[in-house]
Amino acid sequence: MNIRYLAGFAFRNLTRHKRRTVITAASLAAGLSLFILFDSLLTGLENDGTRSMIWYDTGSLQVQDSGYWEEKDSLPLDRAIADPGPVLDFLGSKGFKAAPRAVFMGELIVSGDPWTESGSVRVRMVALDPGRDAAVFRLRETLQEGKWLSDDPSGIVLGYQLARDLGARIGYPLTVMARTRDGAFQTMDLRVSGIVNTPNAAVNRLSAFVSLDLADEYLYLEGSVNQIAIAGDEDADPEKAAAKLEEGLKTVAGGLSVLPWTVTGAEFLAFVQSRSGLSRVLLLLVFIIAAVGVSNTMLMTILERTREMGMLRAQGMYDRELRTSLMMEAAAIGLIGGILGLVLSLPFNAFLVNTGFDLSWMIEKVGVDLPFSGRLRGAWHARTMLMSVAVGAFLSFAVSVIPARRAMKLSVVEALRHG
Amino acid sequence: MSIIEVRGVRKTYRSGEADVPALRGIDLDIGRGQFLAVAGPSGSGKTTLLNLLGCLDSLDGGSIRIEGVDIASMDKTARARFRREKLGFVFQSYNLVPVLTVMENVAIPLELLGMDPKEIHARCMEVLEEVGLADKAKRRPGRLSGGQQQRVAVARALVKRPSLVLADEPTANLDSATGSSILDLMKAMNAKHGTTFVFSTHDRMVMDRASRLVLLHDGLVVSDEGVRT
Repeated sequence: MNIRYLAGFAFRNLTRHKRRTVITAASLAAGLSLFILFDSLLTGLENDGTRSMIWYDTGSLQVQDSGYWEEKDSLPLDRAIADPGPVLDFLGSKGFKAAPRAVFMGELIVSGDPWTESGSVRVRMVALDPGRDAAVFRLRETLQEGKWLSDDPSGIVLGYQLARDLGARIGYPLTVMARTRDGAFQTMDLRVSGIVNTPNAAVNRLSAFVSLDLADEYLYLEGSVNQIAIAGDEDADPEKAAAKLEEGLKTVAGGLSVLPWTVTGAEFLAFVQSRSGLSRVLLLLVFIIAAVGVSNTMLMTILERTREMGMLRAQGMYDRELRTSLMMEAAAIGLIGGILGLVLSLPFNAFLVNTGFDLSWMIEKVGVDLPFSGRLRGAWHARTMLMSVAVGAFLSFAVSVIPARRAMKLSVVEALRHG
Repeated sequence: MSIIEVRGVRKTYRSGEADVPALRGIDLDIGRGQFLAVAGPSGSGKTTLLNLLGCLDSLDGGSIRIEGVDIASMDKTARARFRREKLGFVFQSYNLVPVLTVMENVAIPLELLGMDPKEIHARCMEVLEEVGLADKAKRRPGRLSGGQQQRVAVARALVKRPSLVLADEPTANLDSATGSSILDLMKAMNAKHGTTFVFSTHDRMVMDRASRLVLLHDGLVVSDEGVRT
């Protein structure tokens, strides 16, 4: 028998109980649209977070001394690239934009006039070359008040949240205590020259920036840096790019590693992946909706049409043809539910993408150390949207297997006698 | 020449702990083109006999040959294929598909045979002309009277030009005038196409108009009045 005939027959059967079909499809649509919206937020969070991480903190790739990564939590200055010049020249010759940085732990100490309170706070100090840094990072564009380090190389720029926590204003004096490259304590008396407000909450809360020349002078770096951040092609495979570059760098200096943002931002990616577990739970819920709703609808359908199915089998329709027709009917409910869910999600997702929710108050309160801007936005994720339609149809098709098989358990004679 | 040969057919149903014999050894030869009624009181085995002739049920003993084919040896799928190709059915309660039009209902047996759509259309219109419902081809069955619905069922049974049409109490749900017109229609089809008709019935009118009347009682043939014209 023609499969098109069976499909047409299945679609016609959907019109028997329009309300039932619509209710089943609508419940499936609600579940799928919820899944689409949740996935949109998750994708938006990942895209936004990844961008914020790369643009304000890690860069796409990082060249480090090969021993640095194991001790990264203490941000050691002695695991450094002793002579970054040839590495920077090599990177430049290959068309890479690169920025040398010395990143170290520091204690910000504030006391006396004009501070309203005295105290200290541990921060992540980033010493950077203001000229080169702008080619890789976008920090300068987020300067909210004061001057950037290129205009005031002897000052310190604070993250917005850090400045707020301290009650810092432009021109306020403070002391930074940090260890030099050889481990001795050193203090730097500086003035707040600027405040940056980046879309990266972790940078705003935990980071302070000084010029590399200043850090070199105080911490005896002797020209060394512990990171060279590189701006890369965001669409390229970061692991492959890192491996290729690492191979190339061997011709310039030994003992260097190139780490992609997927490694330097592993904590953030782990956070996102833990949230995608929730997405799987939602998908499971959709599956349960499909299983209960569609099976129930199909069971009612089969019960009501037992005699009719007996007639079709008496006419010579094979059991497998009838089963296929019933399963197509279920799949059609799922398809309608999937398309309805997709259509339903579009305006809500447009709102999420264009406006989103402002959660900066929550991030400030909770103190999230992740690269979020505070505005939760969605993203258009075509694969998920198309997949939802397919999942709706497939799940409905799959859960109709048992009711469809049950329908064939009665003999033709029993089916004809039914009701 | 017989189109159907029934030899020593037995069928027993199980009801709880008890075996209930429905047919206890029936022999019957049905010639091509006969218009045969199987009658008898309730429980005499007439529906069981029709179900066996229609390959809808399996027999416990004996044999049935239709057009020389031993249907007892067929598996479920082969029986379905045989029904699809050779048999037509008319049911007491019409059993039309409400979401399909009259034409689409009549087309079901031809769709099952995978015929060309143009030929399906032509054959359906031809048979609907014959049953007097060509003008209602696009209607849904729910908008037809009981008699008209049974005409559609007759058209559906005849559209593939089967060797044999089995009708289980085809007039039971109809008033006598409508039932009579349905019988006239089937008789005319029988005469025109030479299709063999076998009915089960309680209806005196059907028995009187049959060319042959077989009476069953307690699963046995108690009377066979032979071929009448």
